[in-house]
Amino acid sequence: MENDLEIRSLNKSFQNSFALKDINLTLPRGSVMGFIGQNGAGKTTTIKCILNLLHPDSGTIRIFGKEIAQNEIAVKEKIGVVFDECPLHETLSAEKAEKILSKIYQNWDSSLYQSYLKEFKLPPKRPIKEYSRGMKMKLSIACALAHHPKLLILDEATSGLDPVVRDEILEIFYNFIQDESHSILMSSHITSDLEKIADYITFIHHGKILFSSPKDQILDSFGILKCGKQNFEMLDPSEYISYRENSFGYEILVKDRYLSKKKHPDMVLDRVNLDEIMVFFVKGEK
Amino acid sequence: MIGLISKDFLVLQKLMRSQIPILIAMTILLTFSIGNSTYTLAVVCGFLLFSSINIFYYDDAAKWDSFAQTFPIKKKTIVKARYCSSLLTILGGILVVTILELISKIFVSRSGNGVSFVPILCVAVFLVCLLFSILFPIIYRFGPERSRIILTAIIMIPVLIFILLGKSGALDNLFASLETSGIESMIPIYCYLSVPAGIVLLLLSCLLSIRIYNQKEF
Amino acid sequence: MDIIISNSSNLPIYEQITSQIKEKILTGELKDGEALPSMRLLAKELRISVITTKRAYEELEHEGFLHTIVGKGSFVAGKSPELLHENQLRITQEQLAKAVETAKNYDISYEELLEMLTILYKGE
Repeated sequence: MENDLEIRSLNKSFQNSFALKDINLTLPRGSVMGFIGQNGAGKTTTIKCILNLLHPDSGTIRIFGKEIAQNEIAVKEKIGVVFDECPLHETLSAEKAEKILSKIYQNWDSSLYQSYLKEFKLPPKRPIKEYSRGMKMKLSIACALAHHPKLLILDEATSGLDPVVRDEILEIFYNFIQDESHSILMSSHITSDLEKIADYITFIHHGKILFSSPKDQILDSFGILKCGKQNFEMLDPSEYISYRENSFGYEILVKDRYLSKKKHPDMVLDRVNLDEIMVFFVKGEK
Repeated sequence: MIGLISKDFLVLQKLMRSQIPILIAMTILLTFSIGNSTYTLAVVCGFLLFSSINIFYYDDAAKWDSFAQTFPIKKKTIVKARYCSSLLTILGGILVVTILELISKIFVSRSGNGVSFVPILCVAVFLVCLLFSILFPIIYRFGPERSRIILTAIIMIPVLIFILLGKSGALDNLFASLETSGIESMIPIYCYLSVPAGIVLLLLSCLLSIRIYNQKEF
Repeated sequence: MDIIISNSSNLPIYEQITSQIKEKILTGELKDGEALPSMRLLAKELRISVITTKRAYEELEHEGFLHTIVGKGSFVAGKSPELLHENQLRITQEQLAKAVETAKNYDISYEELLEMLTILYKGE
């Protein structure tokens, strides 16, 4: 199985004492990886290192098996990037954007771009400043997809969009990965979207990767055990990641919910979602 | 590279559409009322500088630079494209000024200013090249926002000097005195040389900017 | 073909898929040799991850319900009821083997194990 993206021992420090520490990440070809973490945790920094916008202090980054520093042009032809804001000048229109981008990418497919504009209902001659936020994002996506990339990288691309638009965009991504040679790396706070489409989830916190695993495994293994003080004190600490106490009891993030269910058949044991996992990892007591 | 150059012009299109009529009106007024082509040059120079630097601001506002880093284009090509578009705007400026000069010559009879037009034009081109050569690396190094104060000073001073010189007729006097001293045949050569000199300056500045840009982080 | 997934079920999603497809094969709704939707199309339509559908198909292949041809897709395995039954016996035997090993590790006697089996089977 080939990997579209391989990051090994990436380190990058900044003057303001924030640093990426020993980042390891693997995105197998044909899969979708969700990249989650708090604001400022290092998601955008990691993505910028991947795209060579930042120079790492140490470590290697391989895209399509090649190191990006040496093969920048060839690699970037096959990457589509979508940032959280549309990076096209407001006075430009979708039509003018094509005039620029079609000269930049060798594989620019004009008919594909036009079909996306039609599908997304984007008026081609109107200046971008008259687009709504959702329209701007769809245009960014059209620009990213029209040159037939193999790897799509999205940095908080769907934040601030309403659920209906997000659903439409998710559909676009599902269509993108119908081709087995296509992969997606998306950082997002909208964990509900990731819970649908992601194959893998990587969680970054304060510049370190806390886990990087298949999504099904994460959502199936973790669980939330709920009980009172007495029962809590009887629990084996190796069974759980962290807990949260409230006035009426305890909530515990357990590592293996099937095992915990067997051990404590009388306690409430719920399935967990990514939001809760994040909160327990960050704010839970150990 | 063509894509990036066309981007610069597409972005400037709107600016140009609103500014050029004003520019033309202003220069026509000034030229016809005062009969001196120096003002035309000063105004056009100012406009060239203004629009070239504005592109940096527009790019910064749109967060275009980070996006451009994701293109399959080398960093040095991005810098080269910017210098090329600036060179093209200078050529456009030369064209505009020449046309205006020719028009004014047809409609307004002036005393023997035609001879000194081309040398002054060359000097103006040289000055613009000089300013670009200084400004661009500064903007690349410090970013458009921080460079603003430096830029205002650097742009305004030469333009003011140029206008003052033109007003006081010092340039014309200079040429007249040189005429009589007999080295008039040499002056045009120096002036004509100033254009290649300007281009050389731009090339050097481009190399410097490329070096700065390669180190840059986004 | 209808496949309905519940997010609130205790069964993992891939198991919900396998059990529904199995049922359709056994009732004849899916005929021998019939092409199944691709893993990626199934993932897209159900809005789940490709790894989930992949796992579901792999399980079904392991149990002999379908076979996958690389580049072509997955097809219902043409199996006679006897072969199917044989497969199911094999799988049950694998599970029992594990139970026997566990029992031996805990020093549980054959009689105790048999009693356990009877209660579990008949008690259902």
